[in-house]
Amino acid sequence: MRKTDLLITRRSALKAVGGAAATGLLVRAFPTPAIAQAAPLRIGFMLPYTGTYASLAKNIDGAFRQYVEEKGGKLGGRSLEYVMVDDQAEPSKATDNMNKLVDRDKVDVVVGTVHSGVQMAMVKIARESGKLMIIPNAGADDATRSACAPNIFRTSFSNWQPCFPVGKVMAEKGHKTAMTITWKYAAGEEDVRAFKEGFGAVGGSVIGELYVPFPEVEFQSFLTQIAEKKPDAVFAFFAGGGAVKFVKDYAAAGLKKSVPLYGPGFLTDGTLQAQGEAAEGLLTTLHYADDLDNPTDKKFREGFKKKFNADADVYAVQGYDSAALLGVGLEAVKGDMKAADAMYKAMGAAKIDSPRGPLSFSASHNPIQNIYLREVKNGKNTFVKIAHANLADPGTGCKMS
Amino acid sequence: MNARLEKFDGAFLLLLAVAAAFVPFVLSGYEIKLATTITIQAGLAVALGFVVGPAGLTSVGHAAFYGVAAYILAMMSPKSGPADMLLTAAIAIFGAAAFALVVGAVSIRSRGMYFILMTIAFGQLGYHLFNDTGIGGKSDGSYVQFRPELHLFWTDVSFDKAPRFYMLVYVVVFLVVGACWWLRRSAFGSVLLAARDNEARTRAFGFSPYVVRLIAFVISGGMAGAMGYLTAAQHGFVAPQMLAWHASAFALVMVLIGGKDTTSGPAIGAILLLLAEEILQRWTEHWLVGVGLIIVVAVIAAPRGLVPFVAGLFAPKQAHHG
Amino acid sequence: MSTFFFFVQLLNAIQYALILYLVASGLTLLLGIMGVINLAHGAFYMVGAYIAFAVVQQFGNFWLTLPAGILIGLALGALIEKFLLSRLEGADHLSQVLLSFGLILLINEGQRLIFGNDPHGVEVPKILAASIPLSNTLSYPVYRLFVCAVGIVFIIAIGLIMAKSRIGMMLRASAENRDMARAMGIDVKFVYLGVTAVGIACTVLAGVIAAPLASVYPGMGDQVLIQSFVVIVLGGIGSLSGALVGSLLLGLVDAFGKQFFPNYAAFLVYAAMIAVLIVRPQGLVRSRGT
Repeated sequence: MRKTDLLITRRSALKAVGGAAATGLLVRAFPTPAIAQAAPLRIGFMLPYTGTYASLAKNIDGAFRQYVEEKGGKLGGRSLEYVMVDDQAEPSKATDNMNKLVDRDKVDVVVGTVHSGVQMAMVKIARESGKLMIIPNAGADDATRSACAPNIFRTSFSNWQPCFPVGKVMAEKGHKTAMTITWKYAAGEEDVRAFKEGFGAVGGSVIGELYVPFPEVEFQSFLTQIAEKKPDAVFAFFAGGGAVKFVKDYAAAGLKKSVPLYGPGFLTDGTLQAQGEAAEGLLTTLHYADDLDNPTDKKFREGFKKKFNADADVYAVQGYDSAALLGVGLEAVKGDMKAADAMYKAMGAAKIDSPRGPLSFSASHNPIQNIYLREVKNGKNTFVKIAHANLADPGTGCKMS
Repeated sequence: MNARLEKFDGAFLLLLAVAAAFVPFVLSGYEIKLATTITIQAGLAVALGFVVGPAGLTSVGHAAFYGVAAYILAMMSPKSGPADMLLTAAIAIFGAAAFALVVGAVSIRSRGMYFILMTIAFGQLGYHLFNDTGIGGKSDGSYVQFRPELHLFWTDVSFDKAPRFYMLVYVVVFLVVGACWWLRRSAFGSVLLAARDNEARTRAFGFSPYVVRLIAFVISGGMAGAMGYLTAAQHGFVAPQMLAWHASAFALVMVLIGGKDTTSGPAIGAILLLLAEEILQRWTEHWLVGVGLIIVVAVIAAPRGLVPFVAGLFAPKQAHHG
Repeated sequence: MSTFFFFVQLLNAIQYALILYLVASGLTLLLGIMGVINLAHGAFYMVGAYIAFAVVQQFGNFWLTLPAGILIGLALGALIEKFLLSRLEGADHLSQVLLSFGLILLINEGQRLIFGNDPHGVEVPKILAASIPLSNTLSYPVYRLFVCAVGIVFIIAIGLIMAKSRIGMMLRASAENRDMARAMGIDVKFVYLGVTAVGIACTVLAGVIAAPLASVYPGMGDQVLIQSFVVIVLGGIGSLSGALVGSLLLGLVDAFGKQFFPNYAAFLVYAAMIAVLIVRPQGLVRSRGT
């Protein structure tokens, strides 16, 4: 008797746990694909829906859908359905997660991701499987350089792009020497290399490179070193919580007044509310600004605000343009993805009227875009001028086969 | 371990081994890849269970051995063609075992909390080694471009096809689990248990508890390395996070859910946890809540693990606990 | 490196060490007196930071965050001891490790559900918002000095309580020998409840105080957890004075490591720790509790 009792209690206990999870904790269920008349195109989002980059994932995903809705729910005559996989920004699980989309869910297109390490694992599978992949954020240079492929497109940036023009900006302000500080990881190193290339080209010299172990955020010792060496300017790359803390610490250490701080826009994007006063007046470069004021941008920002009750940012733009790029391809082949060659050709030649301004693509499928100089004013990244017009990544080592 | 539990343990293992053998014939596509991942993790959990259970060493650093072996394969893999499987596997497993020897030699001198903290520290050291210094690629990870090939005298065997790779994994994990099962019941296993339960007696019999534990730790570390090697071969990609303490803790969860005092327990824990993760992820983006609840409930309700719990259910008269 | 900047780095080291000590002391209490290993330590620190953020946002007053942090911390600790930890009594460290790992996942997801994923800043209270100029390029934020002061007061207070008061005596007795303490009429259960509550409240409070410095973001506790472990292992488990020594050592290695061996700073911390452990497996300061 006792045996069965226990078995039952255990089973019902398990059920109770399951029930609690289903009713109480389920905030948003992943939509299950409805059975459609003409098979809809399956879009697989592989994005970091949890963890540090979750807000980026949310905006990319949201703006992608916004674009599709604006086009009446269809691209190239095909309706779309979405499958989402949370990659947790975790490179060691990246292959498993990508396999879920490609093998399990049999998606037609993969849209992802944010984290460069995860991206490189995805690139490998995309190359092997030939699946169309659109990168809506991760900037790892290699994805559109040595690892480029006909079926891999990027709508965001290569790490090189926003950093290369910073040198020119500094030289225009009369700075001759600079120090760099970033996390010691691949993206940081690629950023610093691009900055040095740009700064060197205009005759500037980098007198010190500081690397903070990733993802540590204790900067005081490094700030002291900057104060000691007194460069004319500092180039910094951090993102998210690290960017918030760095900008605040930099200002609190009094360095903001004596050694001006520059960097790629990630230093002040999505973080201004948290940085507050400390970020005011900072000059950063990026392929987007909060007040570009072109008609597309206005319409996009209004739509985004209405849909999500939040302000759009550069990540949302990248998601939006990912959908636009896919639309160009599908339009060209009337929604028939089997005509892959023609589709990729059309995508490579796409001229998109993006919220960020004109957007086209280089031979290695990386964006050709304006890089803007922005200044933080009243908690917004406001447009100052075009720092570098129609900048294309060199695409070194890309051999499209 | 009492006789009943031992019987259950054996029965579960047999069941698992038979069921797993059918995978390539029943499943296809993504499911085989999922089964491959789960089988490898089951092997890792069993190897870890061997030190957590009989040796009484709660290692929160086993992912480091797993990751080091994976990195060794990545570093030894040529860009242009497949690596030699026997050679790279031997070096990877040896490397993992050597690392385990160093970690164990220092850590096993202390017990309890100190041991736990030291294994965490060594694991993080390994993580920072690959994350910060750029050895074996950058922090973004690095590739194994081609899955290693087995060179036999008469032919080269490729494992590019998922079912065949699964069979390779099956054989290796079968060997590892079998070895753990055998070791637990061998004279060596008895000495380990004795060292865990009564150190003074073990010494009196002329065994050094330190040495026996260290041997167990190194064996387990080498096995974890074999699993890391297989993971790197499966995914063709390695990243520093493979070594970090989160990964070690996750493997420990598998061990605990199934039951550390059995060989089958950790394997069952791995299967259940990974399947739960797979299912929860389809449901909700807040799936980690589910995993967290599973862990907390398991620790409180069945601290000895599922296999001893189930075995307890069939006890004729004894009070049910655990 | 000039003498002036040497002293600035020394100040950085000490200041960082005091923050580390504040953060690690709660973990030390749990480890030393209860023998409980708590991986969720960093998660509680994050809870503190988010409390600071929420309270400042609601009421606009930083000083309210301190009592709020203490109260919530005490309640959280008491609940965890009452409903979770006490059930593990007699179980091994493995259960503790996993229970606290489960808690990490739950707290992290809870944070996401309530506060979302964006990083947030907590304004430094007005009277402490200034900076003291040290050279023509560098100044020192007053709030950092305030945190130092809190750390020092905390060290003295906790040292006195442990050494001189009746509570301290009860704690030491319970840590030394649970059964003996029970026989002598000490309500060990109550002591444990108190220690867990106070230990976790300390951690939460550290998070509150660090919030204006650290800013507030998901996963911020992860770093802190590992660093606290390093501090404790260096100093000797369960010893508060050991934790102080460990914090100072880590602060020094960190500040000067970043100056002289910038590429290996993180690596150096672990190397230092392993070196200490090889020479003195029980840490630099021998503990009583374990």
